[in-house]
Amino acid sequence: MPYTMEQYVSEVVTRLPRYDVAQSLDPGMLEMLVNRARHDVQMATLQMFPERYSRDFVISSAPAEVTTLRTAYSRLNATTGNIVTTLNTVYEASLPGDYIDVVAVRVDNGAGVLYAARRVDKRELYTTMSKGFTVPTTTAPIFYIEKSPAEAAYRIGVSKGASAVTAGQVEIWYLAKLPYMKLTSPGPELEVRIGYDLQELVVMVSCLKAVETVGNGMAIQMLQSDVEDCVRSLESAYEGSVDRSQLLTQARESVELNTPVI
Amino acid sequence: MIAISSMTLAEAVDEFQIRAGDALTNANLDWGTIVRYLSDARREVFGKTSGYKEWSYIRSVDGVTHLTPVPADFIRPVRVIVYSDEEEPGRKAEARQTDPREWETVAGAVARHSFVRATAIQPAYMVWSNGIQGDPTWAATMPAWWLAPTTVSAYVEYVAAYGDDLTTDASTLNVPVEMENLLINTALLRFLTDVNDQSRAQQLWGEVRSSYAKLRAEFSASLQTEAINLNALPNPEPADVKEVQ
Repeated sequence: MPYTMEQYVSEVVTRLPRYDVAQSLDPGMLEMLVNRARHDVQMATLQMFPERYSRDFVISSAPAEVTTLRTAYSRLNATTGNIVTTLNTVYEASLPGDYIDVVAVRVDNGAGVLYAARRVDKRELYTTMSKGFTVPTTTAPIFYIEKSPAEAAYRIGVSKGASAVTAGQVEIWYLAKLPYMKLTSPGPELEVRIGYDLQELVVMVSCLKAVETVGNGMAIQMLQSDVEDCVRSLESAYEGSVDRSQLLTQARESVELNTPVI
Repeated sequence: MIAISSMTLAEAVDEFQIRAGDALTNANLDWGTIVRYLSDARREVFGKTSGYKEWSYIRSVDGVTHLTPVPADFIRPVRVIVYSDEEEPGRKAEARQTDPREWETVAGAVARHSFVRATAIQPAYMVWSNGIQGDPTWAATMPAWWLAPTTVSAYVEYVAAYGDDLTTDASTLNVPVEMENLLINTALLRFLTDVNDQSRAQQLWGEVRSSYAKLRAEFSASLQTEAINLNALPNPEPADVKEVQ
């Protein structure tokens, strides 16, 4: 069974005496330390196991157009021979508060079909929207993500060319921050998103943080060494599985016969 | 000769009681508490060593369909075999794992690249969020299997954690044999810490840490040996062709 916060705290309290730390910490402090440890473990394993922290979000309210980013796009109408100029528009919306990093964005073309959007840098936005071979369309939308230091939430900007982006059209796959797990709540909260193999690391990092609050230098060094060993073995196992799959893939390719040239 | 199999709970409890010695007499532990120590120790040892022998923790599930949640004991996928009955009855194909960033290219409604598009005989899969946008129960729900094409069903194998705690005497520990001693010592360490036998606990903790270090060294050595052996497989590139005189 996955850990509850109560079990996390109980594990930390059980293990602290191993490092000769007798000082007792109150449950509230331990709850805070365990949640900090969960955050640290998530950050350390985010790229190794992104599926555990994956979340989907659809912008349910209508995004607002950023009028300052309207870009003229001129093209030749092959039928009439006239130059036609359209205004490509960008629509922005706020991302959820638990947003860490985007993985993919899909945009509805207006007819119920989702197309993957390509990410652009803000520096290339103008060029992308004004040149024919890169211009966004309903079937080739673009997006960017940015945040202001004065704001708490990230913003996403989406463009489908001259077509408007309305509510419910933008679906974002992203990596999300873990919520705060409480010690007391209406029911026990289970640790689901952090896998079994990483929950042990959470306990060890919690012990490290607890020992740091107490200030036992020897115990801190010992725990840091244990945590580093645990992380290193996790990384080695992960790298080993990646290397193994690459080597085994090569072995599936056919071997050509060594035919002599006569 | 007597065949050896996985240590049972009864044997583990006996081993624990023998090693606990005098400390056990003073504590007057009941069977349930000892089992609690062993269950928690098994979990701790698993957390620190599961990467070393991942093949010891493989489980499988049949009949998985698109967006089926992964099981509660899921850690990571091993392989997905898709039933490709569209081509011929009983046909199976192994699905390739894709990154979420390429999912639209592989499985999208309007895939851009026909040569990588997932079909019943070249299926693809990934593990990702359950597909429920803004799911308020997100923190309490597991990710899901994403299969392409979305109409197929699959047999999946994955690295799994231990399920429920040990309960009966005949329950087997199901830990790799190299870790049985470590498990008993870890359980004993928890007990000695609880009864405040600090001197024995510290000594035992040193032994446990040495065991972990030894396992890690053996694992690193086995990875290097495996790399050397796998590199010895036939080179896919043809050898130089020499003229026959």
